[in-house]
Amino acid sequence: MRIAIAGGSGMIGTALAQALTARGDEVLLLTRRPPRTPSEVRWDPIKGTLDLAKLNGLDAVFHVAGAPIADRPWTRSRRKILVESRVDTAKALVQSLAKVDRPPKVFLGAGHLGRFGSRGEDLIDDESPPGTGFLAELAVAWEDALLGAQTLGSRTAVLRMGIVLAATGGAFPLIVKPFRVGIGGWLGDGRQFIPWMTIRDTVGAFLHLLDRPDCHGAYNASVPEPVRNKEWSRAFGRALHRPVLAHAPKWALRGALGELADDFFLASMRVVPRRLLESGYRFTDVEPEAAVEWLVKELDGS
Amino acid sequence: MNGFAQVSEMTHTIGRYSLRAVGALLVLIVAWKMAGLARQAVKNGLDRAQADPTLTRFGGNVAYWLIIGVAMLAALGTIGIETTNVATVLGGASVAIGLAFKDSLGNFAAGILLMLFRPFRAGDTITVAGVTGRVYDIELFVTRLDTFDNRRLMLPNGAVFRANIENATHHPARRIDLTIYVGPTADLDQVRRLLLEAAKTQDCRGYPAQEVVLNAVGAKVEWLVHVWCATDDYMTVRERVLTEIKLRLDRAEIPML
Repeated sequence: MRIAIAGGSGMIGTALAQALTARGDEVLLLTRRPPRTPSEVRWDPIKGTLDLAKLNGLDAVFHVAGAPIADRPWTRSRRKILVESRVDTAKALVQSLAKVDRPPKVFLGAGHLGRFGSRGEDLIDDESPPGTGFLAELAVAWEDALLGAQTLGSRTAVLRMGIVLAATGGAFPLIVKPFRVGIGGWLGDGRQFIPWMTIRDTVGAFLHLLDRPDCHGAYNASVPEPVRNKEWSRAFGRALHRPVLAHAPKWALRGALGELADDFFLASMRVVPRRLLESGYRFTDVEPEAAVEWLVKELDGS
Repeated sequence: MNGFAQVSEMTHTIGRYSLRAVGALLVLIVAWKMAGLARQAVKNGLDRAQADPTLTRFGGNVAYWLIIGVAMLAALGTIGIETTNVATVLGGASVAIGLAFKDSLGNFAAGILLMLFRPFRAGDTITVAGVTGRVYDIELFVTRLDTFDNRRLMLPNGAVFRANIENATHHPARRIDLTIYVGPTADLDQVRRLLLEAAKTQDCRGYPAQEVVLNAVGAKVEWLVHVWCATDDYMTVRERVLTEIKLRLDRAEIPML
């Protein structure tokens, strides 16, 4: 298959490209910088300039681009960057693909579980209504932009991400650091459910959606058994053989991070990946402690 | 002549004192308004800081009574009663007053301790000193509860602090324990399967799994069914699971005892 990946240099994009190449697919990376290899295609996400000829008749296009959500506080300029890098690029990509003679057969994108907002003890299903707040609104707009690819006639599916754990980037290396020196802990009262998934399951789920001709629409991407932040933190402690005593109080997180704290770090999302399981996907990592052990091995090995 | 002088003297005195009384009254009215505003300001401030509702009300009340107290002293001063003397008298009498107010002060101190250690917050459902209700707020001297049939209970904070407190809503999730009795002839495997089926109608993902335990055998067979649910849904889930159990046992023609 010939497959293009927007955001191919990101954490998920890199892993995805590797997995696709490994199984013999031909991968094109859409990048902002001038192309260095024949497999790279120049892409200005805002202006939408793309080498359209190279995008004609693709088997699949992935959109996994976007500035990291939980990197820094959501200042006004940061919000603008988040909206531009996710909503606008998704729209631009779909518009560009509308111009080619033969649009891709499949369009897959990474959405975000933050669309549901903080819901306490409620089970969050694929069909649960969206929440409120900046992250929820961002995630809804960006998911709608991705699902806009349906108008191309492509089979379109979105995988809604929570916290993706990978040794190569994202949250995991940052979370592990304090735990290593024994000052890791939970956030707030630690009762909030956090949606998480390892990178190999994320890639696995994407390949699953790619290969299953009946998969379309939005899918919650989080482990089948939701876990509370405190339990999750303790799993980190056990996997690293460190005590977990400290915790970050709510007021400190709010003071340091503002809305990002309430919408993301303290938000409770008891997410169930019902559609993903029903479509036949089987998770590799379901249990936090084992997942952390694997990731630590990856981190130290690389 | 003499009488006139006396009357004139009296009206003068009355005039002087009534003027002062009006002044004192004005001080009190102004202070009362200010205290109300201050209470609202403190509440708003704490609300914005997303403080606990218990603390918000308490902080507001403290600000309110502080201002009223100061105003009282000021009003006394306006009338002409030396407040320094009042303070001295109060100081001298502090032992007596202390004894007289022992219980109230104890309640006040307990109120502060309840604020600090927070065994419960406004909105929690607690059982304390033999009564159960939802905490409305924690006042200076009393904790106010509303029972489920909406009666207001006032518990002295001292009594609350000394008593065993059960907080049913502390944890976001809790376990429903059901005891089911069936006859000794009912097939164990079948009953276990039916009970588990009924328990599984509740989605326990993220919570401990459902359990069905054979607890006692004899003239009747006792089963325990454990199902976890969100604390807020306790009654609804309990009723639903009970209904499912009853339906399934009835369909299998297994009578419950």
